[in-house]
Parts: sequence; structure tokens; C-alpha cells
Amino acid sequence: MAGGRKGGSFSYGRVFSRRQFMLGSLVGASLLPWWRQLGEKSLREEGAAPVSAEEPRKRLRELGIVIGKYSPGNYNAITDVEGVWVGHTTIIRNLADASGRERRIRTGVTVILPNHGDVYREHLFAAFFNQNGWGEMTGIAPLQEEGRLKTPIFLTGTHNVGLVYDAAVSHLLRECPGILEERVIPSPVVAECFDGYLSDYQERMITEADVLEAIRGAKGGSVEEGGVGGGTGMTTFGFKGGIGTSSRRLSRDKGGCTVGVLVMSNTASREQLRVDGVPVGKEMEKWDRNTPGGSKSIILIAATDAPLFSFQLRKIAKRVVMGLAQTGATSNTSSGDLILAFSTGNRLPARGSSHPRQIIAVNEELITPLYQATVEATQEAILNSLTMAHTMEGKGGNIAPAIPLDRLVQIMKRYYRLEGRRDD
Amino acid sequence: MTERKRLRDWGLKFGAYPTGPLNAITDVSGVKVGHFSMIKEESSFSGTPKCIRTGITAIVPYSLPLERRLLVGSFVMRPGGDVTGYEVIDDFSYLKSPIVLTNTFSAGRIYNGILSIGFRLKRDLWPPIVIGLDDSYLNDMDARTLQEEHLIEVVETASSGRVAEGAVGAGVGLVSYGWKGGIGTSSRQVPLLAEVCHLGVLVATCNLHSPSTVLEEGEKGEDDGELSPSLEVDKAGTLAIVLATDAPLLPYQLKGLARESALGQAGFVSPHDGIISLAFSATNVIDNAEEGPLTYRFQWIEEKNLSPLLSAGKEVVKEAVANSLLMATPVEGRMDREGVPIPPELLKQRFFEQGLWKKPPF
Repeated sequence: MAGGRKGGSFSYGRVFSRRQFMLGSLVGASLLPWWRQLGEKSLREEGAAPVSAEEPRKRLRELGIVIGKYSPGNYNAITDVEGVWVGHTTIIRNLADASGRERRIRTGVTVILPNHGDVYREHLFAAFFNQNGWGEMTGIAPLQEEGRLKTPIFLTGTHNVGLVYDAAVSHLLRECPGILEERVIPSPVVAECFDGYLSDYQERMITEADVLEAIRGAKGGSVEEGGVGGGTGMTTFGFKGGIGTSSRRLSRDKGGCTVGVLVMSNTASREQLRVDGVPVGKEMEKWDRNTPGGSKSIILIAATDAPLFSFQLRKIAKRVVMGLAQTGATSNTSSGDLILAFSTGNRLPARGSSHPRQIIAVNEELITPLYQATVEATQEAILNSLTMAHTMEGKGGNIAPAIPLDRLVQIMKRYYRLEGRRDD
Repeated sequence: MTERKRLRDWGLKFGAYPTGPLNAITDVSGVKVGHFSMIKEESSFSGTPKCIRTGITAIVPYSLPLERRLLVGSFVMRPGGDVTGYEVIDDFSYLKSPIVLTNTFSAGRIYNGILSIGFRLKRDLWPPIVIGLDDSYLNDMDARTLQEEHLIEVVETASSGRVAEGAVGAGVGLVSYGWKGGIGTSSRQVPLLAEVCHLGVLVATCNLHSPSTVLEEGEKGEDDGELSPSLEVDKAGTLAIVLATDAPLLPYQLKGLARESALGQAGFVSPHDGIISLAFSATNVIDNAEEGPLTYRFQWIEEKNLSPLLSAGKEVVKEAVANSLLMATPVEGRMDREGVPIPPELLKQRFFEQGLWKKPPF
């Protein structure tokens, strides 16, 4: 279990005063108009292990399954792009209210911080692509206009967006004294997927401290995957999903650029799953048709150190969709498939500039390998979110099973994807 | 202070179409508007009291216990602020949530408050639509004193009657064109085939710059006298426009209405400023979609019949902008700044210069 938080350092009263409106009806409350039906409600902690941590989890590549032709960066993660940091806060709690009704919290927040965490001083070129808009990513109206990313990127559960946005504003205010005098005030980028299959999402248990903890804990290097951070309550392809990441580093003769992708995956159904073209989902359905429902949305973030402009990053964002398609997902009506791509290759002063500045641009002729690298990294990131996730039990006894790795390997062998590898 | 009256109460007829009974967005049946204004000094850790000049304005597009989806279209250009729920508006053209205007830094809490209202009503109001406006010229926006209960009060007290304008709700801390800005509203009755439909708008004028001041920057202060703008704001402006109509428009037509109404404001928006424009139809709606049938029936009106509505869109926004300035009352804000209401003569003069009146108004 990763970063599961205990209740000790945690004040219930303060948390619930913020959420006093959405808890269940009180006795006799129906006599009051709805806006007066306020109630403090106490929840108590119940101990239990919602995650079966025994089963070993591996990244796709560690299983011998290799996607595409380009090599990953050192960590095979979005953090291979210089200066990009990732932090998670995972909230896994078993609670019960006064009447004994259990409340299962499986949520959290993941933050992506460019520029070695120093996000507000310099802005980065960025682009957004709306593959299927049944989702939320705040801050996009101005981002699309300005073509620049000005804040950290937060990934969380659907109903946490307001609270995470608010915490993001707190962080902005803390880091940027004098922000009120700025010509344009940055709008935080907060994206969501619906974690309601595993989590009692109405409780909205996330706090400002949780968000700030994710920011404080953000770092480069290897990235925790699966049911962590914003991905804690997510299910994907009928299995436990969540956070996944991957990267590609092009050789020097192809420009030596790196592209990294991080996803919060909560989309598609089991029978759709394809791994490197193999219909793994269909094969697995023969073995077990009991798949968790309620899956919707995937947020995909691509980062590159190639000095791309916004319009080129938009093309990268569209290639991210192609990677998504290769995993078999088809963007269901209720799947908010939103893509944000940014480049660390040019850094623009947040406080503006009174003289022209030099911008580096990539020769269009050389971008093609980067597109393929993006497709590959996206596919692998989504699959990593599956293979790294542990089985999780949540709301109302719902279980999201981890994808069985032995069976995955077995199927891939049957389709000759693991030939030449020692049989173990 | 000069008397504050709406544009029409100065005896000026404006535009080609008659207004609705209230000359407000609430002339579109089912649409309600609520304001919450917060004007206070609040002590802070640093010792200097925070000067709170802010609020919430909510447009409730349908009677809330209903499980209803409205069709909506948007046009966004150089926005100085954020609009949440934008992906759904842009890609699905659905509107379920109230449209709430507030200051940028409170957008998260207000977003969360809309979710709370949804939980309480057991209705899916997702995605919440919150338009964040930068009122920090007068307001200590970093104090973030607005809370969920204030939003709930706004939505609960929203009414389909007269709409307060000027320095009220989200407009308390807004300035525009060098004067006090705020909330403005107006409406039109427009012929549509054999019937008459209503078109209403509510605007917020946030940090807008007068295009003519921009042009005349080099020669400022020569003979403007007391008609020169009272303050200079170095901020990206936003004209927030929310249009409501009972005409049965489809999403692409609503997008057209949002766009035409926004682009019709050439004389009101400088290159420093942006526009966030939303338009929704209160009649082409979907009820109880989750257990709905396979297909729905909507009404479609051919575009050539919509041109009166589109030109009404241009004039109704202009009148609402004028009302937001004319109805504004003085507000003293942070750092001893003062939002001074525009002298009505100046506004009339500007309208005259732009050919909006045939003869000089005074």
C-alpha cells in the first residue's frame, strides 16, 4: 500500500465544516428547505487492508513486453524530461458513520511540476486537445488562448476538483507574493477522472494539506504507478488502473529529444484491451468476465524537451490519442479523454519581457520520430498503469482486480510477442 | 454622486427591438439570477486589514430540482480568466449547472459548492460552470472569504424578477474603462417566424479598456477634463457574457449567437481585453437523460430566420454593458483605490461617437 494515510494528524471537524452540505439527510431534516439541511456528521476510522500488496507487480517492460522501436529514458517516465517532477498523495481510508454505514475513501492527487518545481517564474509552451470532452480540465480556456502552461498540473477524482483548485490557489499565493498586481492571474490546471467505483466520492476527503504534500513530495527520477495519487480509485480496461508513465529518448542523430507521458487511466472495458496489437482483453474475458463497471475518462499529459511551439504541441497531443487508440480504447460517450502537452524547450518569463527574446524552434522535417515516440510512450504508460496496480477493494465491497501478469505473459507468448526470451 | 439610472431611464431609445418587461435576462422564462455581495474589512495575519470587495452572481438556467440538460454554445477570445466545465460545453454543448461568476481565487470553492448543491438535491449538476474574474484592483482577492454557504444562499435566493446591477454580486470589485464596472443586464423581444422570442443577457465588465483610450494614449490629458477616465488598470480585461433565449436553438446556432454577440462589441473591447461568451436555450432541453429514450425531438429553425436574433444579440450586450457602468455606485477598495462611477454624459458621448445614437444625446 503506497502512502496510505492514517487519521492521527487529521482534524475531522475542520474537514467536515467544509463539506457539511452533501452528507446524507438528518432525521427530520426534510422539514427544512434543502439549503438549511446542514449537518455535522462524525465518521470513525475502521481498520482494514484494502490493497493486496502481496501480489508482485511489474512494469510492462520488466515483463519482457516491449512497445515500439525507440528506447525509453533512464526511468522510463515523464520525469526523464529534464526538470519535470511528479508527486502523489494517496488517500486510502476505511470509515464508518454513526449508523455504522461504511464509507470507503480511495482517492488522492497527483501533481506534475515542470521547471524543477519552480513553475511560476517561467511559463512553458503548451497545447490542449479535447478528444472527448466529458471531463474537466480547468484553466484550459486561457491556456488555449495563450498557448502557455503557467501552473502545476493536478490530477484527481472528479469531485475533488474544486478543493484541489482551491489548494492550487493557496500554493500560487504562497509562491507568488504580489500576484494581485500581475496583468493576468494564472488559472490552475486541475484535471479529473471519476473514481466512484471504488471511492465514496461524495465525502470529498481531500484537503489543502494533501495537495501541498503532493507538491512537497514531487521529485524527478522513478515515478510510483498504479493505484496511487490521483489514480488511487481508478479502474481501467476492467482492471485496477490509475497512474502510469513511460518515455522515449531519441538517438542523437534524430535530435536526442525526450518525450514523456503520464496518464491517469480510468477508461474502456476489458474486452477492448490490446497490448502491442494482441487482443489481450478478449483472451482474458474467456477466463473471467466479471469486470468492474463505472470506468470513465483518461487524462494524458505529455512532456518533451524538444523546443516545440504550441501548435506543434497540439500535434503531439493528437499523437497521444493515437497511442490511446492502440490500447483499444474507443472514447466512450462518458469518457473525458483530455490531453495536455507541454515543452520545456523554451522558457518564457512569467513577468513578461520588454524586449524581443530568442525562441528556439524545431525543424518540422525532424518532428516525425517524436510523433512515433509519443505514440509508443502513451501506449506503454497506459499499460504500466495496469501492470503496476494492485487489486483494490473499495466502496460497497467493489473490487477492482489487478491484471494477472502471468496470464498476460502467457497470452503474449501465444501471440509470439515474447519469443527468444527465456521461459520463466 | 450623480444619479444612477439604467440606459433607458435616461430617456434614450436604443436598438431596433423592444425590450422584455424587465429588460433583464430574467425575461427569459425559467431563468433566475441571484447575487451575494461581500463588502467588509477583515483582519489578517500580516496586520493590515484585508479589503473585501467581492461577491457571487449566479444565473440559474432552470428550476433546480429538475434533472435537465440545456443546450449551450460558447465563444472564448483572449480570456483574462478561467471558465470551468469548458470541455463539456465545447464538445457536448450541454449545460446542467448554474453559471456562476465570482473572483478567480474563489473559483475552486464555488466549484465545490455547486457539487454540494447537486449532492444535496440528489441531482447531477456536473460539470460546474464557474467564470473567474479578476477583481483584484479593488478587492483583496487573496483573502478568499467567499464560502460554499454564500453560493448556496445565492442559488436559493435567485429570483426571476428584477436584477440588481452595477456594484453587486461578482460586480462589487470590478472596474472597467477607467470607471467602476460591474454587472449589467438587458433583454429583447425578437420576431421569430410567427412568434416572438426573448433574448436576455447578463454581463460582467471586468478590467475592460476603452478602445478609444487605447488609441488616444499618446495625447492623453489634453482636453479631456473631467471626462477622462478616473483610473488606469494594467490588467487583462474580460467581458463575461451570458445569453439566454427561449428560441429553440441548436448547439451550433447557440455558438453562433455567442460569437456574434461577442464580436458585435468591437467598440467596447480593446486588444488588451478578452471575451467569455456563453449562450443557452431554455426550450430545446433534455429532461431525465439517464433513463431517456433512444432519440429526442428538438426544434430546428433555419438560419435565415435567426438574423433578427443575432442582431438583437449585438445590441442587447451593448445595452447591458452600458447598464453595468451606469448603475455602478462608488466603491472604495484596497490600497486606497476608488472605483468612481462613470458620468452618464461621458457614456452617452461614447455611444454617440460610435453612431449608436443618431443625434447628440445632450
